[in-house]
Amino acid sequence: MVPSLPLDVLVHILYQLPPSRDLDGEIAVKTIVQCSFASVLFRQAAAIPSIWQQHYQVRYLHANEPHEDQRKARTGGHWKLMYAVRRTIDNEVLKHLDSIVMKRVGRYEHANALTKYLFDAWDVLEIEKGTVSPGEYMKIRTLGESHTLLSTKAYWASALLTSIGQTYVVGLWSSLRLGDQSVSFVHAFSSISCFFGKHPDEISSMLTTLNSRCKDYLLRLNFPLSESDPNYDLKKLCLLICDFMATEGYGPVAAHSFHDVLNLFPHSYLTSHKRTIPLSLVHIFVSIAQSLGVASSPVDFPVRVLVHISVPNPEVDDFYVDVFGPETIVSLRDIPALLARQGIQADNMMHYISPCGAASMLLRGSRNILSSLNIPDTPLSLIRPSALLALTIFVLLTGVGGGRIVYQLISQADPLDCATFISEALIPILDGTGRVQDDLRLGCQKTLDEEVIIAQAIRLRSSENKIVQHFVGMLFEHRRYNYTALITGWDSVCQASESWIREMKVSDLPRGREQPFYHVVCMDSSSRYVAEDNIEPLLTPTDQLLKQMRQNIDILPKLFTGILTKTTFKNPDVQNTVPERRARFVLSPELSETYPEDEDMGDAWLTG
Amino acid sequence: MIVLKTSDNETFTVERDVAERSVLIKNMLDDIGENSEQAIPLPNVNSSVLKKVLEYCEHHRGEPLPAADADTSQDDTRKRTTDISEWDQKFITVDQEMLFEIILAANYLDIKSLLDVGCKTVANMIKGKTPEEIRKLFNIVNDFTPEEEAQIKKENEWAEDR
Repeated sequence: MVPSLPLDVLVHILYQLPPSRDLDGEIAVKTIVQCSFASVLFRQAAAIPSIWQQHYQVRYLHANEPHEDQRKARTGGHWKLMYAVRRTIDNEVLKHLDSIVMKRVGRYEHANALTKYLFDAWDVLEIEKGTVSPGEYMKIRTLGESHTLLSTKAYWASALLTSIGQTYVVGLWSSLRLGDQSVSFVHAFSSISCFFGKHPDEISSMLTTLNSRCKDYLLRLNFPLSESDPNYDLKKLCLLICDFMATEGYGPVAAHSFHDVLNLFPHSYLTSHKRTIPLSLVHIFVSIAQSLGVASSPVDFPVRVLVHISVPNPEVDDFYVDVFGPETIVSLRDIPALLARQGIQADNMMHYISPCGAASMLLRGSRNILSSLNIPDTPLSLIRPSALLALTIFVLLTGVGGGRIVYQLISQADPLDCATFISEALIPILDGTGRVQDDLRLGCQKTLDEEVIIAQAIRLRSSENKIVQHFVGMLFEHRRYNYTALITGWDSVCQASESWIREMKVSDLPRGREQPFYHVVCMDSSSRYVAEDNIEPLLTPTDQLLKQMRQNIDILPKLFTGILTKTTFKNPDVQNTVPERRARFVLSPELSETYPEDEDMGDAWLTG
Repeated sequence: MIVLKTSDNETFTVERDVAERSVLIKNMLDDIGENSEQAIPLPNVNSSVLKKVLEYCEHHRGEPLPAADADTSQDDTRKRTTDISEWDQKFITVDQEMLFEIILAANYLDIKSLLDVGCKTVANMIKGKTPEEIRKLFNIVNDFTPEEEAQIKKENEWAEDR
């Protein structure tokens, strides 16, 4: 006869189902819920707040703060109720995410609705993004093995995290436009990384760690940190901060890498690109200096940004720090000579040496980004988000567009951007800018309208398109230029503009323009449009090639869910025959909706 | 040496540091003083269970005890997720009745590490189980009123499979 266990033991058992953000954690939570249904005593055990507190605190690291406060008030801070409320929100978010993944029609309405949850949707999206392990990402399977949508789902979760970050940061920056000084330079600048899917807390916590390491460094040197200490020396302190930054690896970038666009984004210059440009070093310096109580702010000095240090003693001049330069401390009396070197007269000096806020530094950053993008080495995958970031800052802070800037912005924005942060955050705050706002609204609408038309298209091979020989998901080599690429769509005849057809000399091809043309994506992520005459199917792609594609092409999981292979021995009677392993990419739900018959054709082709 | 007396009136003579794995016994010994020859009565534990429990205490003698004021709810998550050691795993592989008896004894005698091992084992047994399977395992009945059942369903709506 099994003895019955008292309440405290039952609670202890439920504690042994530890929280985590993976499948185990999910099973733990579901098990505790099942226990609530078992009996009155079990229900009591499964309602203990501290059990739910631990699950809550592991799952929910972020929230839309005002909403979180309301929820706390409404639930009386009861962890189980709070957990239930957040999970209910997660379920709504996941429903939107599923629709976004599964159907192109209506996708951007769902994206718009999802983004409105802001940071309340962050954790669940991050968990979804994490459900695909590196080994599972765009996995290579053999024909017949079942495949999952995990990679495609993770792609969208990741894209939506970025949309949420963008919506947040545009809101943050918009207060700068209205002259709100409560947004600090350090915070406004850290939030640049929101355009790359980073939560603002992620950058803040990197900076906070650095701040406290610097403090430890100074304490080890027995350097007095209190202003009231007779040995407190502000200039010495600034020099030591620079020394500390050097010991941590932060410093001036070499001239040949100066224009690397990664020097401009906090998540990269705080980690992989510690040798970076003056503005980025100033961001780190000011963060540290302010944490040590030093009144410091950036200065919009020509050529390179300086830091203005305000000296509390009114009888002593303020001074400047050049974090990038060999001479770190710049005194006020050196300034006129430095400015004169840039052709600036002493009577115009004030503008260049007054402490300035976040807005002018963001604009400077935006200009830096745009000039870095002209450098030929910038990877394609970085160009779009970087340009979008720079143009957004510009339009947002100046309210000046001119037709061209807005046009450029819209040309960099995809339907997701248009449906989320541009229409929800950027356009509304441009009230009063007249044409800029109107142009942006029209441009956005046009992108979304075009998307609706494309989303509805269905291409059937069986009826009018029988002549199309190849299929979506097939790899090929270009007969003329020899590059390898992947088919992502087709037209039964050339649909490009007349000028393109002329420029590309389409009529010189054996079959001219009256032949199938293919939309393709190349190894460097670029898209092209290729005539069937130029397509040579790739029969045995190496694993290395497939892996490289997986790594290089960032939109791959949007279009495809994985890779299927099939090995066949062509002449089993002949000895030492080399097996042929064909491979194709498996269409994502969005592509199989548009090309419903390509999946079967792909399978048939695999079998040879 | 310490003498322990079980509910079925058997006595066990053990070394003090083994017996003191139990915080209950340790506190009792502290109260009655060093040199008492009296047997300590353990009316909630029978001899077959105590034998098992002492086997555990013997094996783990000398290991540091958890701090007296350690609050279960504040325990470090990592400690709880640590897998059960090989010896403990073997030790706790007993029939379910004995498992529950050991847990009750560990709870009564206040031997936290043993309670953890036992509860962890039970937690693994109930993972992914339905309410009916849980009831069967614990030999309990569904004692909810229909209203209560509806209420619980409502409270846990978020957990329903999508």
